[in-house]
Amino acid sequence: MRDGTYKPLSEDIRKERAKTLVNVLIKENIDFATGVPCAVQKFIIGEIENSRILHVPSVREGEAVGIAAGASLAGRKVVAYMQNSGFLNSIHDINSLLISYHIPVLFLVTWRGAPGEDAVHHLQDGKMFLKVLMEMEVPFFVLSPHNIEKGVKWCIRKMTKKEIPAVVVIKRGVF
Amino acid sequence: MKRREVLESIFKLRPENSIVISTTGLIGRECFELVKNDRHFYMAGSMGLVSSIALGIALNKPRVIVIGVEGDGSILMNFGGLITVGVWKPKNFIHIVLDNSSYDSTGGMKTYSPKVKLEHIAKVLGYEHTTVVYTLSEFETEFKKSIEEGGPVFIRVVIEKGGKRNLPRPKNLKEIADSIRNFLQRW
Repeated sequence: MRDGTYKPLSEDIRKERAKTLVNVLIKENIDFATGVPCAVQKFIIGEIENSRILHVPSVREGEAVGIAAGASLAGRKVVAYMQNSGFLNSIHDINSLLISYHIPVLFLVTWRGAPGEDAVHHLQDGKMFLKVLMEMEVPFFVLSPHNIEKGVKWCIRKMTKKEIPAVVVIKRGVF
Repeated sequence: MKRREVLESIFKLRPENSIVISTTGLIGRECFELVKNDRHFYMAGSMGLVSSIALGIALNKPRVIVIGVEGDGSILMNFGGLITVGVWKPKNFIHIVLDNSSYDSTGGMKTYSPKVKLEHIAKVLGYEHTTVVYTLSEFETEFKKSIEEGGPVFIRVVIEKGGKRNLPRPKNLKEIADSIRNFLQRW
């Protein structure tokens, strides 16, 4: 938001959107999840936990990249959720393991530090996040309330076709 | 005990339904010289992630024995990963740490490993069987036992510093991933 605040979303809307997103994952045969929690993705992670997706939470994002790589090599269709703080922390692992070996993983990454952020320690991460994704040459899609299904499907299609990671960007105020 | 002796022994004794994940640096390069892509995933880069990749495979392919091989420097880099292994306890994971108390690939700087009883911590974190070995015959006994009895098993192998340095590097990493993926597909 331009004025530096987010419109607070009701829990019902957040739950409904999380359900929409996770339903797409299931329809697209995602069957393994790992990651590190983010408050913005609270309901998404809850939906994953209550679905038939095998969920193996990790203690750090780099570790999640490793678990995701293993599961993907073993034939699973994998989602890894985290905040951009942890994604940026794991860039080398993503570059050297997932991108270099052509291991597809779908990332759900919260874009903290986006315009309107009130937690100042996220601002530097937020400023560089999309630029980093562009430099990494990974497909990414910033979700808005009306294109959740389209964005997630697009990322899964790209990731499968190119055998590389793709990033669904989750914004505060949308989830 | 020399690094190469242990690696040769692993490849000699491992069963048909096993894969080896080896860490970046001299260990992985020496494994690559010994077996190339034959049921061997040489993890170039992403230092520390051997146990995590192994966990991701082991949980999804319970009939495959996953052998993770890394050094003391490598395991210290992703020690938190052992927590997740200990919680999920994959029976088909054998975790081998070649401990020379140094970062040998980068020039032999000391690690903290002499101050940390790695096998004790692995035990506390939930590995089923943990041990330390000082001779090749001890290692072979423990390794064979792990294959038969299951785990997760943690074997710290105390080795000498040094060894061959002129070792090959893979050029086509996708080929390595494809080869492992194809093997795993059959299980």
